[in-house]
Amino acid sequence: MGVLGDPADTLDAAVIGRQTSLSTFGSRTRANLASTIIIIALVPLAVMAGLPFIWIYISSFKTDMEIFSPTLVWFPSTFYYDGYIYVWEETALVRGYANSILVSGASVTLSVFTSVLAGYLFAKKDFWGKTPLFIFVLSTLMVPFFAIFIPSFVVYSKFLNLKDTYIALILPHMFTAFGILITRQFLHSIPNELIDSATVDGAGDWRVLWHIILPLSRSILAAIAIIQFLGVFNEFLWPLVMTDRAELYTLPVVLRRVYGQGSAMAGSNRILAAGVVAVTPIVIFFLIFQRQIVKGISLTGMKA
Amino acid sequence: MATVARAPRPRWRRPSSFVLVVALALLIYYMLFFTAPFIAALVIGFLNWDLLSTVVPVGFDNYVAMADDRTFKNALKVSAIFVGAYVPIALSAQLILGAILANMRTLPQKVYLTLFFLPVVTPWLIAVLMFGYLFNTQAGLPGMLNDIFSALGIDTSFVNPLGSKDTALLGIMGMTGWKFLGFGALIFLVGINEIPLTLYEAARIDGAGAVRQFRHITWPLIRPIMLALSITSFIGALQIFDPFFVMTRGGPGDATNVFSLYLYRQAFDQFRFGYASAMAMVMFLILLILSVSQLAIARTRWEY
Repeated sequence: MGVLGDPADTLDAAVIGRQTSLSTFGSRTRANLASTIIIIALVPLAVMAGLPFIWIYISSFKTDMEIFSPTLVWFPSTFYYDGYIYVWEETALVRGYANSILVSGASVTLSVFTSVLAGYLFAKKDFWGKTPLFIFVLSTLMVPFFAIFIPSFVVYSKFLNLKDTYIALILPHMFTAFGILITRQFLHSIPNELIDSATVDGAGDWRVLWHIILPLSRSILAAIAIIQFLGVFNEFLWPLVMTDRAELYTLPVVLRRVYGQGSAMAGSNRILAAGVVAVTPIVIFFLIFQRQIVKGISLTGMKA
Repeated sequence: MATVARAPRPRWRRPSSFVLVVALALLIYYMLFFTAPFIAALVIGFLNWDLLSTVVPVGFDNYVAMADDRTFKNALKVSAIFVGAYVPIALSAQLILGAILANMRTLPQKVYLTLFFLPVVTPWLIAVLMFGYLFNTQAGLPGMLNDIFSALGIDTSFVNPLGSKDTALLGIMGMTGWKFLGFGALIFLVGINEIPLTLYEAARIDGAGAVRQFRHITWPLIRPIMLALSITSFIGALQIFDPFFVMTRGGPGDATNVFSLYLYRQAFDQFRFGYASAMAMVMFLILLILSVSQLAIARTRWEY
């Protein structure tokens, strides 16, 4: 079967593994052995993927002395949880979390709503200037964030006077060209007869939208919501320049503060505790909604 | 919009209130928050402006200044190395992992996908916190490796990659790879699963081995996905900001002072908003050229 770890062999075995489940060609035991080898060969890579998580979980219970001992301390000798007390009492982490959830939640709600409105508009309505408007909306996908970053900052802070408001953090995500594109593609597949029959029955656009389009496009809207949520929750640079008041800091901005205090050796335990507190809800959230997240990204990922 | 007026279209009908409201909302929103800032960035690029004192038009001076700015040229170089090395390596790794996962049975595939996907949903700032610690010479991965190797009787001296000019960029690259491996692998996995199995069966009857099957069936059929991922990866990688800003702060020296970080600093540390805007335009042009040329290459080389 060749040497374990050789990429060509791994690939070879991978393809065989796929086919055994569906055909009776070839030797079953050989293929089973091959797929077992692949599963084992991926373990080191998976360990690398999980290591940063595991390591802060373990290390957050170490004292600063243990963390920076000249010889590596693999496991904490005592269950030292002072870092967590510090995070709870002294940092704005919880507030940052609340802010991030508020901003992401509002952005997601708004953008899903506008996606279905605009998606319906472009998929099922005919009006003067439709194609140019659609191309215009799509063209915004080509503009990198940095190209509009500085004027946006000037507009929001100087002209709209929105610095240090939640609106400044939500407004840029009110519409998403990506979501509009995906919804439009999806709504194209809904037969016109469905809409026409409702229209004949006297339903207006808003009622069609609410009673027919919305229920049908639930899965695609969920996918958009997930992607949008991950994006807004991760956002750092925009909230960084838009917020001066600590009460408005989102989680990434708070974490930057916490991380910045850690250049000195003291307080590392606290930083790690902050890391654990920050990442745990995300891990739990991910494990609960894993299927939806993976499905959502595979539904929409390629169409981007 | 003038082009549409000229085209022979069905008689103009008064648009319904729904069409009017949504289309106008879209138009106003994108004009206000994309078109206007973009044009503003173009204009500010021709000015000297610190947001406080008066605006001084300087023509192309900002663009000329870039050619003489050694830090800018260095930033361009660092970004080119980062993007140029990261994107091809990351895409290859994502493709190989996606191919391996596609050929796995459901259960191990699910388990691995979960593990590799956890970094994707982890916000950059949490990743920064975790890796800041994981990279630590005594307390992190280098310490672990030194420990493990010395137990095997080999003397190694792994150190924090971010501490040295030669390896700092590599460290961030590894982190970026870690963060996006699962995403790309999932996209490739979905793409490979869509290839009909009968193609592989036919190839196998013709006596094609697994590697040849990959080369002649899988590869040509996932090229469009590869192209889309490649374009979005270039756009994303050039704009990566968070780890450079928080972890390395551009250092040591200017070894990780990438384009996006230098642009930010020119605006928000030096208050040279005109210069930074001109740089943003250069970034936009670079990304536009990269995207268009990839599309063009794909069109000429991959036609079959």
